[in-house]
Amino acid sequence: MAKGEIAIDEIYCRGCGYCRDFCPKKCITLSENNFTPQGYRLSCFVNPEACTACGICSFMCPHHAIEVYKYVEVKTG
Amino acid sequence: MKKELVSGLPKLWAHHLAERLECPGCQYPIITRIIYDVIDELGIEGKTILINSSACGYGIVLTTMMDVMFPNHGQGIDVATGVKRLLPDCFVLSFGGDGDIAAIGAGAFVNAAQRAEKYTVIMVNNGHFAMTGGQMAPTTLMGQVTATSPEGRNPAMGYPARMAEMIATVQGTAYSARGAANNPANYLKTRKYVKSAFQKQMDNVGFGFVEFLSACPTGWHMTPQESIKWVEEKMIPALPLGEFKNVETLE
Amino acid sequence: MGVTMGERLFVIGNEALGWGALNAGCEAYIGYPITPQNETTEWFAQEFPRRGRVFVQSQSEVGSINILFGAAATGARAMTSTSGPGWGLMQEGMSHLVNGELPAVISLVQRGGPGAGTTRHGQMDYLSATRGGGQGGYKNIVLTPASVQESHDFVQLAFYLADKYRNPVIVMTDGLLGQMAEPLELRTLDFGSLPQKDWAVRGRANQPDGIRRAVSAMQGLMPTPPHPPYTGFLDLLKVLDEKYRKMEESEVRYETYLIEDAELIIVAYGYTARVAKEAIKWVRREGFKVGMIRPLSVWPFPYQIIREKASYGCRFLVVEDSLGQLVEDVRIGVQGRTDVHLVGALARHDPSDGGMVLPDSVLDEIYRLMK
Repeated sequence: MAKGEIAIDEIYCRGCGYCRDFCPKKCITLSENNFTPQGYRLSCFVNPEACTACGICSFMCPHHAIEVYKYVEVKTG
Repeated sequence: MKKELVSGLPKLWAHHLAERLECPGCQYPIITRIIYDVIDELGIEGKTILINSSACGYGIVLTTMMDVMFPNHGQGIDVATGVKRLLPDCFVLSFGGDGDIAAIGAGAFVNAAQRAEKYTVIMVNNGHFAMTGGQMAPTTLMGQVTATSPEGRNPAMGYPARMAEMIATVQGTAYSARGAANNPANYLKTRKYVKSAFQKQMDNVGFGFVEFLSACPTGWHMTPQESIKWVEEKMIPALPLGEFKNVETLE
Repeated sequence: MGVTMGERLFVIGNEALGWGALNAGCEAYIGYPITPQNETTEWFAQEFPRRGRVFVQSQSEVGSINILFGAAATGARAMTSTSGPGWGLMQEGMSHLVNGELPAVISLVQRGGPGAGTTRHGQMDYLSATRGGGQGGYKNIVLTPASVQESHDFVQLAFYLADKYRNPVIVMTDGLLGQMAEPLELRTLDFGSLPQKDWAVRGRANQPDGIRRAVSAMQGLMPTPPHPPYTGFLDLLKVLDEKYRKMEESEVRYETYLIEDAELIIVAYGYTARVAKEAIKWVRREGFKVGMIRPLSVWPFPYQIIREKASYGCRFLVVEDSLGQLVEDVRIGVQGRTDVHLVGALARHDPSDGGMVLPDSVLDEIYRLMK
């Protein structure tokens, strides 16, 4: 069960691959077929179930292209 | 269930001010994120004056809403002296490159520490003069091929400068450390070093310095992955990470 | 601190520069030892810290001019002083101050040159001060006192003009004026109101409108929104061009002595102007009609009065302690209408570094030209 999710900004991603390299859960790959408007291989969130919202992909990204969200229980009643 | 942001654009990054200029895999924005995060955490954004004399780092420092200065190459540390002496209550950070601080700015660097100036200097070390096309710098490693050491640096060209160790020997230095971001653990350690260095200025102890080993894929003609390996396998053994000086008083 | 306004002291020119800075509200001084202006640096070391003002001894004149850049960027009135080789080191920094549109005052106590030259007096930095020795071509006002009182007064004028135009101003004396002692009346001169330094860095939260400021030595090359609004290099050049024109129109300063009926006019500044005045007094007694134009600013230069006098047929004699620098500006002024002669450093009374241009050499030349 995913503890969170990430959003990758297609405009700012430059296909450097650090997010893929440093994600401890191997959630991310660089696409073979999808490119950013500048022509870089787009980073893709391929394994969302494993995401722990650790934030590593976001702070290791030089281009600030990734936002990481964690899921928080909303208490009712 | 709702979503809470864990990490995104650094809070002090005003991205609407300029387009992003960095090369793919450049780590200048990594140390910039660390700096902005720590400034935000310490709550000193409103009284910070950020002085940039780096070349590659320029476009990055441009994108903040804090007061900034862009003096010329080699001048950032002297400029910081002038600013901090006149505005001692402001938080002054001089952010420069390795050619900038270890070569042309070395006189300013050593003397600022000798005078125990009360501000912080961060030097981004990517092992060469990146912006101008990759010429050899004092920090270039033995055997490293650059535009002005085409056969690789050899003993006739001296040995790599170890700025963090060197400045730690100066009595006026309150803090000196070297960090890197070749993996998340080292990123977090570097963040601690930067926070300690900034705290030294808040406590008005003395000169503070953090050296940051940065991957430079474009300059080194490597893929981002190869450049991270270069930092790990070549730079860190020659330029070890850690704190070299951390004192509460200069006496 | 024991000194009140209107008080008279007996001090050397180098110290008068310091008193002038104090009375102008200078908040920071950065300096490095170099003869013959060390008394200035030592004066600031003595008088500034105990008055709560900033004194920094830098590691070199490169350090001085760059620390000055930082100090000026905060909006404070800041100053450095130097001579000869130190002035050489400051050239790049001067260029950056102009690009950054920063006000600053630099006192230049000339010694002999080139190279180490002499450690005593000279008037050999005229061209580099007025033409801008640094990169890119630029202009800065250069004021030329000829007495201890003027040294004090002109420093205050320099701070005013620097703030008015957001450009560095040089106060240029020489080793003789720096080392000689004369009475000095301490006074604060008021040259008029000035706009607020809205552009200065002080921490974003301390900006009245809460918007960040950017002070740069790269204006025109790299954008620094939202302040200032230069989108390109030509924007900057236009602003600087306009600035220089305004300075040329409004800031020419000179003094005349007996030029109304003069057939030969001497042009001299600093110590050689005092020497020339002695020679003029002597020859006037003999009936020779000689006068003097003494520039108080050598940039902008008083071309117009020289051009007028040349068009009436006056001849010119330049007296300067160099191989010929001021003489170039006088030649520009006369526009070929008349002849321009020079009594220069080779006419010094003694071949050593202590040799001076004395009235004898000036008299010899006047007689040669007029008898």
